[in-house]
Amino acid sequence: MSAAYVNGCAAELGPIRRKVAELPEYAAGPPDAGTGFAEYREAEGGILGLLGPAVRGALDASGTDPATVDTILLATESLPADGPDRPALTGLLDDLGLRRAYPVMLGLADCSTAIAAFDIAASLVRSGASGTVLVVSGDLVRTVLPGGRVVLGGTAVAGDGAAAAVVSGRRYGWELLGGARGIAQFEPGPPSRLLGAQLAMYQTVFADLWKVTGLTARDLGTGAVLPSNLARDALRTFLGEAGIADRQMYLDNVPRIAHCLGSDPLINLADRTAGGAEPSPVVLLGTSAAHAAAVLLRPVEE
Amino acid sequence: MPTAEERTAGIWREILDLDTGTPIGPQDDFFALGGTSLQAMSLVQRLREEFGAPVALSALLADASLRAVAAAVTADAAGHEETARP
Repeated sequence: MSAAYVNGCAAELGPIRRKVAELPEYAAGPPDAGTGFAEYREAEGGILGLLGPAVRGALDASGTDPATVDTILLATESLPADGPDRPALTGLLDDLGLRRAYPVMLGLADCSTAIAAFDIAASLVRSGASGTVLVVSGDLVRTVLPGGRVVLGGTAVAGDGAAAAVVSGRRYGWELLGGARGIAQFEPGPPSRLLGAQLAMYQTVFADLWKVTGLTARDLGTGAVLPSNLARDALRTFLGEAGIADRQMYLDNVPRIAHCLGSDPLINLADRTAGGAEPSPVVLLGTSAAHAAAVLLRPVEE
Repeated sequence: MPTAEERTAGIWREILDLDTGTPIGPQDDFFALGGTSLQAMSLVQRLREEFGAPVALSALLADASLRAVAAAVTADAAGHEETARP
């Protein structure tokens, strides 16, 4: 079976920086310091204003001719069928030179969908069903969370952002070694039961990831686990009990941008790469309350 | 010197925003006192900082009474000291 590679990625954040402590949910007091939340991002325009630059950036970063992209996996819930952005997407793809790319929209598993899409993209590439796949993620909080930005009982503060990556058989960037997915099996009951189900989900996903790829946590360098940007206390607890050391968790973006829904792991990868971090296999980990998806990438040796 | 139970109770008070006059007994349960998921994870991290040893969330989920949490902290701290010795 041939290999699949993530050739490059890029992200686009909402340009408006706002203070988490100024959200109405924190009128009585700021979030606990242990969450790490400080700022979040807000978009000025529509979702296409985030998706377009992210896609263009990913094509540039990967050195991909847009005419070679034959499939687009769109992980978003911000393109409602009755809104103007969905028909406008075709025009955007044309403008980006993606005229041969067949778009497919994915959803339902919340903030883990985009990472699950990498496994799908890799399968398409390995089987020969696709040559070059664009994985695109992005959401606007006002569309998908009209009830407010503070979600999961304060475990996340949602922001606007998008990210994209190119997956193909070209040996460049990171080799996609494998992925794993999990679902928290909730039963009605007290918070401890919910927490137990979530903890088991994290532990199972990492156990499965090591089984599929043959690597382990010991193979990961500093800041090599790139998660959804949830509260730091929560990430340290869940990831720590899944065998990840504190130094291996990339938590830099929790205070800077908070939780850009499904795009966090890719945003974190783009920032980690731009920051010149040590070469290391990395784990992209997208999680919501009930779903988790992870993929393990290993840098291609020049 | 305060006992592990007393120190743990102090952390509970801070996290759950209980005043110092609110008694917390050995049988009191963190979740029954109103602890949320986020507060539970905050507790795990605060216990790590306070006692210098990892405290497993799974231990808290197994028994969230003050007595059990303080015992877990003490056991973990003892184990941590043991492994840290040359």
